[in-house]
Amino acid sequence: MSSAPEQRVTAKNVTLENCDREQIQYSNAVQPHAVLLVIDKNSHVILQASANAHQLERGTARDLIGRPLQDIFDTEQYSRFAESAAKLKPAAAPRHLFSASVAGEVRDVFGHCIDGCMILELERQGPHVDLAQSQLYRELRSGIAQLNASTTVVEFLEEAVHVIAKCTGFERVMAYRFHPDGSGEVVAETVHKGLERYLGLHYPAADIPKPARRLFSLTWLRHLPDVSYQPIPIIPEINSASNDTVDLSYAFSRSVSAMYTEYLKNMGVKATLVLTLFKADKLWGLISCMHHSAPRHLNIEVRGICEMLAQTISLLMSAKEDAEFASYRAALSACLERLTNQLALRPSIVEALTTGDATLLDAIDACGAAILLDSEVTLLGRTPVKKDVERLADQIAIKVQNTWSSDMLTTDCELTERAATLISGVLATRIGHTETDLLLWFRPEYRETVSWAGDPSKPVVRGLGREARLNPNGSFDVWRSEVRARAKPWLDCEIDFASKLGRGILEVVIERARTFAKLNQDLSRSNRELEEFVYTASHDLKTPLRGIASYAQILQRSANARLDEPNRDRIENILKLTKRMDSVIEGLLRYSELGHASLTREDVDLNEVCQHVQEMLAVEIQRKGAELRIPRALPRVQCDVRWVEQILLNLIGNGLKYNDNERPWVEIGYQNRPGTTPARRVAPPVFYVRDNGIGIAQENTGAIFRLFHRLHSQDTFGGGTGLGLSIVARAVERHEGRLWLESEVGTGTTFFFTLSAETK
Amino acid sequence: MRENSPLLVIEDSDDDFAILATCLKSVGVSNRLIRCASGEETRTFLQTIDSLPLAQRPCFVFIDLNLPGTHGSEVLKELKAHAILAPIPAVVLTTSSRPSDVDEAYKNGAAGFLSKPIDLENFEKMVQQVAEYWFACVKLPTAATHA
Repeated sequence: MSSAPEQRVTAKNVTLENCDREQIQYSNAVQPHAVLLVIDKNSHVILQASANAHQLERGTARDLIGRPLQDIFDTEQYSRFAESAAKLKPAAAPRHLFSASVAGEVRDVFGHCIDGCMILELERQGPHVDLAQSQLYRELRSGIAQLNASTTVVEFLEEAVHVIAKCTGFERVMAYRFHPDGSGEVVAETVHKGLERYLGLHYPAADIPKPARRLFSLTWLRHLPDVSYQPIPIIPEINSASNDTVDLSYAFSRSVSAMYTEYLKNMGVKATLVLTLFKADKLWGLISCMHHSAPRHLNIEVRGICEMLAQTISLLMSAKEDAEFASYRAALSACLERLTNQLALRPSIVEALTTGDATLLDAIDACGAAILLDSEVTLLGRTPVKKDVERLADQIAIKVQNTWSSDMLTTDCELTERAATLISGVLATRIGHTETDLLLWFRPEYRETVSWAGDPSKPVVRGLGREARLNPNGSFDVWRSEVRARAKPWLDCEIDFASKLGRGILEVVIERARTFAKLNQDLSRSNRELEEFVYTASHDLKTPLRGIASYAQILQRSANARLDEPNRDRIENILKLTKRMDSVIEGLLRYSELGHASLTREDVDLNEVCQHVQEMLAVEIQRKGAELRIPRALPRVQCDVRWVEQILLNLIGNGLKYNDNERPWVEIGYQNRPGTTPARRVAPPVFYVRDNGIGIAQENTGAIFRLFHRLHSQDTFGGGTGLGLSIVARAVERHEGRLWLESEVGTGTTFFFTLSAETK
Repeated sequence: MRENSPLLVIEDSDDDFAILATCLKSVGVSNRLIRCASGEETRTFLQTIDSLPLAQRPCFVFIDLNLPGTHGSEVLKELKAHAILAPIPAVVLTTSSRPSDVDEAYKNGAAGFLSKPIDLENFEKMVQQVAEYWFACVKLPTAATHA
């Protein structure tokens, strides 16, 4: 194993597995359309030659080794060579030095320097192109004008492939873009009718292995005129000057990787031309031209134009892409501004983010969003169900500082299967005081958003293994499995947008909390004032009331004997009215005390409370001959005994009062409710006070809790203050409990209440 | 209790004072009543108490809480800080039944807390009980008479 990394992977031993390490620059072979000579840079003595050098008719390739270049070129040719060769710079793309007729055939001679040697490529002139040169330039000029006019990068590239197809006559021209992860995508394509389309096809990074990528980045253009060429070896194998195989990195006639030709053959491609697109000196993508019907050899003029086009496209495209990105960023900023305005204007944060001119989903590239604020979940667009979003938020909460994002959620979090089919990426930002106050954006699985114009499900015709892999279907499959459960990565500008919006919301939340605190303060002050007012007012009302009652009584005692029946009744009525007024004032006092008094929960035995209430109501019970039933001992409960006493006093009192049954009874009991609510919630016991009284008609059940509201006249059922049930409702409310009733006229009423919230 | 010692009644309402007086009479308490209708009047009375003969110094106090001006609980504190009146039982007789008022009154030295009933009969019953306890049952301090 230790020797393995040392071994050079070349055309001789390349496989699907090691092709990423294939040193394709050391293929030591050329394509047949050129003769390659390696000469000493200074002496111009031939060191190596491709085996097809015999075409030059100066003997076999082997015969040429060690001979001077003058043996191939005549004097005039040699002096032209020497003149232009002197200008060659090391490690640069081959330059056309001159064209020469050798052995009756015109060849374009290209030269470049590498490792102290000079490599000459004597290329047969290709057939003349269909377009005349002047026409070619016209095409080019109008093409560039159109390129400039395009607005988006995709539109631009569509125009670019169109121009190149026109100039080269290739049947298929594709613009191919690299992603940061190395994978690629066909973003524009022009193709002859009848050929399969590859637009939208995604390739895994492995399809253009690192070595090929390196070579692509060295030159603007690579041309393979005939995919089914026979490689011509270079002899001798070892260059005597470098004592190594010659480095063909820049040589355009270099024999290419067998993996590449096999792939092309599987696609039915006969010739290719590849132009490289750079952005800021980095390989951005490729323009790949393919010919399906026959091999196609482009001559030097067309290649020159293509090279120029590739450079022009690169330059223009960089600007277009920057502009497009800038417009996305601008859209995000504009959306942020609108949302911020809405946040300032609208009372509800959720409404501000989900309705109106701008919503959370307007600018950003996301399929859905969720707002988790104050234990409320609001969903927008395509999202998992509430419960799944809550579960996800719980997990994210501990990871978020300011923002957090993931493009592989199933790896980063535990996701239900249901949720995983919907989303693969999330961007989160904090928006409130608690950890789980979050704003989330979702992205679907990347591959789900990708459509290929070809047929990804097409069965691979020729068996399995190599052929199955080395074609677009194989590429697409590999790419799809590589991006399984992954979403498009989140961009910096998107994260920045989330962070700024989150901060904006947080500011609003804090500001509102401050306002609420102030309001609360004001409210509790006015509550205190109100309570003080009620207290003082009731005192001031009671004092004269006591005077009236007492004087009436004194009058009754001293003068009753002298008064006639109607006047005696009048005095009696005065006394009755003062008593009623007294109980109203008492009730008001009680009610106002309930509002402000702090709730002190303690362990209370409800049986004792009932006992006490029974004593308070003893007179009434005896008068009515009523029965107070407690079917089973009541539990101990954490509650405020003063208010619970008021609850029972009023409910039992009402049960007795509004009861015309011959054998009236009031029953006090409770129900446990295991399993009646979801497991996460604990249900407090439900208490009830049931009577066999007159009942309450359905239409009146809402009104009875209103302050001073009575259903019956003053004189029936002993008269009430209209405060009893208001006090009960308020007391239950102070305990965060619930109060409701069931009633049937003529049968009786049951009041239910709880004494604590149904909390998590 | 010495029958000729007066009772001090600190009460702003004429009616309530009249009712109390009626009730006291009807339950057989015939002591003279000294009435102060406000905290300020009480203060003035306290300043003169030194010059009063022992027999004219009050042996028992009824005090209302809701007084105009100085609040009853303040007046109660002043009573309890007064050299001569401090040992004399002061019973709060007021409209309030607010728990916080009750607690505060006892903290300030009240000997009892009575809520004024609305009707005469109950008022009488209550005064009856007060009289039985304070004027017949318990022994009142002698400090007032010997100070």
